[in-house]
Amino acid sequence: MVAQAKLPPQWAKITALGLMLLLLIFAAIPGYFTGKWTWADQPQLQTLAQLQQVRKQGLDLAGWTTLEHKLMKIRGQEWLIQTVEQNNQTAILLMLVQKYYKDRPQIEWMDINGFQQWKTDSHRRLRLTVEPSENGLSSTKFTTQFFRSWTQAVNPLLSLLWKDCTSDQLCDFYQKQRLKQTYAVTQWYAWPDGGSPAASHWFMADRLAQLSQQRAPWVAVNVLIPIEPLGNIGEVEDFSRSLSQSIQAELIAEAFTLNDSEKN
Amino acid sequence: MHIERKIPIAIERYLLNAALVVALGLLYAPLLMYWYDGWLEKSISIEHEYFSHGLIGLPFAAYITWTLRSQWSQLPNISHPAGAILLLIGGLCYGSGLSDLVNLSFPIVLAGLCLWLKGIPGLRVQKWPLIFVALATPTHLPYLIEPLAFPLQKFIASVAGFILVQFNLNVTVEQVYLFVNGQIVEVAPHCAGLKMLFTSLYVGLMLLYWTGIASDRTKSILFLLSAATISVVANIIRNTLLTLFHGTGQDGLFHWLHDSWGGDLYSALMLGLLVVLINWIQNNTANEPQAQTH
Repeated sequence: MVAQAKLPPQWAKITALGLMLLLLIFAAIPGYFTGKWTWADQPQLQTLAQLQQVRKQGLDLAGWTTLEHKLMKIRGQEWLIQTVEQNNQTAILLMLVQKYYKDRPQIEWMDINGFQQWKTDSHRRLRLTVEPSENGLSSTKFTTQFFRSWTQAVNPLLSLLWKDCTSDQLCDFYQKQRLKQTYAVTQWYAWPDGGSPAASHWFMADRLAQLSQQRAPWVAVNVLIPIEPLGNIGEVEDFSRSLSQSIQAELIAEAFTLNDSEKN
Repeated sequence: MHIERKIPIAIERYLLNAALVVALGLLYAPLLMYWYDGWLEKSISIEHEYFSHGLIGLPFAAYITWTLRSQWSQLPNISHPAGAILLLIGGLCYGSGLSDLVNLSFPIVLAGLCLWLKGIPGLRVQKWPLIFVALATPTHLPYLIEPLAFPLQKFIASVAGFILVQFNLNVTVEQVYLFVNGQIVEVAPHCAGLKMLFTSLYVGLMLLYWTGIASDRTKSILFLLSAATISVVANIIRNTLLTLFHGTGQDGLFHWLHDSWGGDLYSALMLGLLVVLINWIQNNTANEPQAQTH
């Protein structure tokens, strides 16, 4: 125990009162005058327009061809579905883009897993890095959850995509994939300076940002890469890594960064 | 001469005390009103509602402090340095203007004041009110522990499924999802009963203090464990009924229990059960040697 100092009684009260007066003057009085209390709200999303843009138009991934992008309601939330292709390897991205400054990640993986009703195994964490495109920026480290999934019947998501397919190529692809059923899946929440499958990590990043009146906007990303029935996901690990890095880099550039014209 | 000297000191002390109370009031009245409004109108967030036991807990804490006022004023005026540290931390939290930090500053500043004005004995005297304030201070802790509720959700889903199978219902349980007659019921994190568990434990603590059983550690732990068990069991029954109603198409009953006064009735019955339990503990252990201090 720390030694207790005997002080004149009034002295302790006066110092305590002094501190409270300081708080009153600098923190409380402005609230009383404006009727607006900072603790009753959170800072707004600065890149809300960019997030909406991505939600509507999908991501423009360098080196990838987007075959289709659309919004689809899954378990009550509107997911951005984007089918991309590179060298005959196709992948399906499911992204939930933050819409409102009060939205928070709510373990969306549960919704996807429940919707797909898939069995999963071979869970692993992948540690990834995005190198900055401009000089002077630091690299962004993020973590993803990587696992194998398969459904016993047809794949629910692919069935929906197949039902509304718009071109022969897509119809053919979805029809095959819908029955193929085994996928290497990557999941993470992406935010400006990081990413993780755990919502609590986003929470800490967001609180830190709030200290400087900023926010950490987020996007929940699922990447589905079709593999051979009950095949080894290790074979597509490098492919998944590079795709995840492209997505994170593109999200940082398109959804999380203010346009130059909007900067002050 | 001596009399003349004494009166100013008394007035000065009185004024200082009053100024402290007024300053505290001005700092925190808007915040407390905001909390209360959020609890009554359910207008802030689900996390905020996890702490709605503060509706009765905060007045209870104020009442205890009021009953302890002579004990408090008889304590010697000593300052503990930790009090200054807590006051500074609390002040920084308040100054940050961020909701969680400002909320947390309330119990921190109160504890800091106890230590700064009356030292460790002061903290000891105000132990219970401080506990009741701290546990009613809204934070985002429920959001952070929600993922940890997953095993509990799974457990509730499988037990509810098991019970319904006994009633010859065709139920399949998949993780936290119950499939009944083509209907899906999800045991969501908010259905895991964490809020009710928090409330039961908080009300349990209040009852322990009120009945004086709190000074008996064994009985207290036993009571809180029973309270937690009652809460979990009651929640399984609630989820089973909800699945039954939803699965058999009785939507009226489902909504009554899920988001109407049926839910309130369920909470009231459960808390009533706690009162019955503590009465039973009091009556059935009366002939055992009682703890001396209250």
